[in-house]
Amino acid sequence: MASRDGLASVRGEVLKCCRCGQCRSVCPTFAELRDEANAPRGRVTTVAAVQEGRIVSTTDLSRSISQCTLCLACVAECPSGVELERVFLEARRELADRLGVGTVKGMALNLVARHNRLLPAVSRLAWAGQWLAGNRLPDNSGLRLRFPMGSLGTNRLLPAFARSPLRSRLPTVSGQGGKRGRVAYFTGCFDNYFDPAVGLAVSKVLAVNDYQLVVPPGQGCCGLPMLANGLRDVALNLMRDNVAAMLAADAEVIVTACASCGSALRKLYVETFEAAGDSEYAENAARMAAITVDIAELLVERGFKRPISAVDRAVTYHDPCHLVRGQQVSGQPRELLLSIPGVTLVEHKHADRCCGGGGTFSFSFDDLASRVQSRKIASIRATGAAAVVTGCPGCKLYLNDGLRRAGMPASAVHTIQMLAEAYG
Amino acid sequence: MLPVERNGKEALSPMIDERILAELRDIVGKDGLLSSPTHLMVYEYDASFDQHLPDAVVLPRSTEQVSAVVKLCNRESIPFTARGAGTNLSGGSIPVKGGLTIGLSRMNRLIEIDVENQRVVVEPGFLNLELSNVLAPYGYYFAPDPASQKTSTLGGNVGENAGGPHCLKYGVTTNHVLGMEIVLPDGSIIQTGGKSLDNPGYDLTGLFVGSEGTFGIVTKLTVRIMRLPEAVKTMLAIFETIDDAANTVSDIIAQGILPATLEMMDKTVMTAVELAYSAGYPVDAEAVLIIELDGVKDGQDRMAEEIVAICNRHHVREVKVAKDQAERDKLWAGRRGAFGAMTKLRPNYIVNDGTVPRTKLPEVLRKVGEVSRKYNIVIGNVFHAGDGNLHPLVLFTQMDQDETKRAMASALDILTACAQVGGTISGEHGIGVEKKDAMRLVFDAADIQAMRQVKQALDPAGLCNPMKVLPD
Repeated sequence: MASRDGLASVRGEVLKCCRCGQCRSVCPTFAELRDEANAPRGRVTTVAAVQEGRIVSTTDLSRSISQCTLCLACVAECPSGVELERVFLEARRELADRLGVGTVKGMALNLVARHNRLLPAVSRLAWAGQWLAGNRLPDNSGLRLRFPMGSLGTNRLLPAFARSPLRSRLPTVSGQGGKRGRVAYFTGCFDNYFDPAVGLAVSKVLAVNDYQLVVPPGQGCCGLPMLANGLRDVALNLMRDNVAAMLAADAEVIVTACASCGSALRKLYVETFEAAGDSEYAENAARMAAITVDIAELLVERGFKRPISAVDRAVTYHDPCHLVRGQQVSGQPRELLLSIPGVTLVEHKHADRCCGGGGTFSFSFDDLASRVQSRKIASIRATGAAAVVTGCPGCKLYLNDGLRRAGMPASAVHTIQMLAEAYG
Repeated sequence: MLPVERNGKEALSPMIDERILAELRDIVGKDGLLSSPTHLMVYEYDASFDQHLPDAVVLPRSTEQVSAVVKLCNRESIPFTARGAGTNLSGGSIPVKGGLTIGLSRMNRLIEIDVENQRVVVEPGFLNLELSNVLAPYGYYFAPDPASQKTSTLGGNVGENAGGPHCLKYGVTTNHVLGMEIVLPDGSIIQTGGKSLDNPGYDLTGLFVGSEGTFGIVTKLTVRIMRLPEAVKTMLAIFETIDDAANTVSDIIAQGILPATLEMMDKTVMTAVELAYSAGYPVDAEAVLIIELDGVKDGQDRMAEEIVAICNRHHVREVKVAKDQAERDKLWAGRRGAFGAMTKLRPNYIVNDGTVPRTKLPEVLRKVGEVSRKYNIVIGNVFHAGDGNLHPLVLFTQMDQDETKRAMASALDILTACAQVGGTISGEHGIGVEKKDAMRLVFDAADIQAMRQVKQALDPAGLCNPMKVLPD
């Protein structure tokens, strides 16, 4: 397979843009900044200008290309079918090559990638050490800084390392007697290091529904944070390990409970291997993608056991970008929630609008992210719901951050946690 | 590795030097001034075909800032051009002589909702659809609905006197704007009109609406809002020939029926729209009409029956009725996204909006077909048929120079045809840069001179959005 590499590889996408400006109406960061350089149309135009040699990489260019949460709203809105996500990822790679990635973030991402195997031990150390930097909050498993770090103030809720990672707490194979098939669980970093409760709920729900669960060893970070920051080569190593590990599990289905991991596994893997000219892994990734589903999708499509314990709660559901647009999953989680006796679902306005988290985005652009966040929180507040349910541990953390900052008693939970609770 | 530019420095033209930039920064603040190459690059285009770089961009937040910026431009003889969302279709917001682009996207406050008097006061950067969304809980909406309404600004709508599907029944932007605050080309601030219907003195509001930003910069608008209709019925009439669809349009109006919309789409456009949206249009038919009725519920069914009867007289294949809001929204999403969807067929398009008397529609549409064959260029038709307001989408590939030339020639032929049957060269998209020369098709020297005198009276220095609308 010919490698279709570099910015030239997205020239066709860029030329498809007819500059109608429709994307301006849905971009969450444009809504805050209101400057064309931060509209999807403007971002595509700057990429075109670089391709044509009219401008060269500058920090301005880098800023506008990076001030995007990769929420895919523009991709869904675009009448011309421009694959803006591909354009932005490719541009970020070009910029990372030329300008480098921010020091701290670059170091962290490289650490995760290069020392994937050591991370469990590192995370335990971090668990022990994190009280130095901040206060753990018991209820929503977050961490507040004791003193500001970089652009992050003490008001910000950060992911807190769990005492021991999820994967060390789950057996490699469980529910051997499961009659409904063998399911391999791709945990992702959030479930594994920061929010094992989600993973334990996944394990419980699959057991109740009579599945055999495999947690393949050798899996690690999905690589999306590296891709999103332009570090494709770093990501590729992780991705190859993951493809090998997940296919080796010999399962009928691969599930994720993280919207972002899921959308990476199902879509970005194949595209990225193809772009890198790695046809062998592109093929393997396609096989993996074909059997990967979100946990809510698996349960609803194949039928699930109706919960009987009532959970009397008014909830609202936040559509993670990488679930509703990344994987076209939006009805299934709602169906799960509505199956729980006592639950009332109150939709909030713009339920499918980005929460502002965007993976590492909210760490790079704390102020901008929190502006996006406050619109989401205002919309949630209007429902009066006692809980926000969502299908992504990243959104969950950032929603909790926003709810706490707004002084609201509501908290965010994962769909599967709600279901697990209702299974009693 | 390419050299990294020092931001901004290289882009400076002699027109706007460091000293002027510093003054502009004092007026609009550090984050309100853009001058790096990256930033200028994204203000050189709109949704049309033309482009030109500004020398700097300001994003003011108040009338006073706009006024101060304009005064500075006058002192330094710098041309300036106002810009809303940059979705306009004839080059109206392109700074063809460079200079300063004044982007109004940050002046987007909703100042007053006066439901009792059915008026709203709003800043120009407020979005068209957003206004209707805000008004919905009160039971009101803003009637002009350009296809770009999700993203275009009210200020831009005023500049272009934008129309839309529902303007057949409710009139275009000018029929809904009652007053304005305007920064004149010399920087002074004036007030025209107001909340009442007929203001004394000259109708400056009427003069400014549709002036394409060449008479000044609107900084505040007072607009009329309308009650949401009690009932809406949306029908899709499917035809085997364009002639049948066009004749149906004339016949419906001739029967004294005034639907809220009477939109036509041909096969080419439906094909593109279905590729982009799967909105439910029949790609095997030659044309469809989207006929929407709105108003009081009583009598609506009877009117729908009359329309179906007229459609039947013109050999309609089928008339479908949207069964709920979701189906209606899908049809309209396809219609509104039609322009963008054309890139599914070809990367570039020119869209004209020549307008003809309704009865001439079949004749002109046949002419469009002839032009398409003559130049071997694909042309799609999607338009406000009830208004006789055509939107032939002339498709081409910009990188193919010969095809581009043939496309341009086709567009001009179509405008000429519109003028020849007693129509005009633009119904709502404005003249901008693109149709300046075509002005001579519909106006004689004296007409144009009269317009030029108005422009000269208001903008003697010729700095306010220069080289637009009037032929050179």
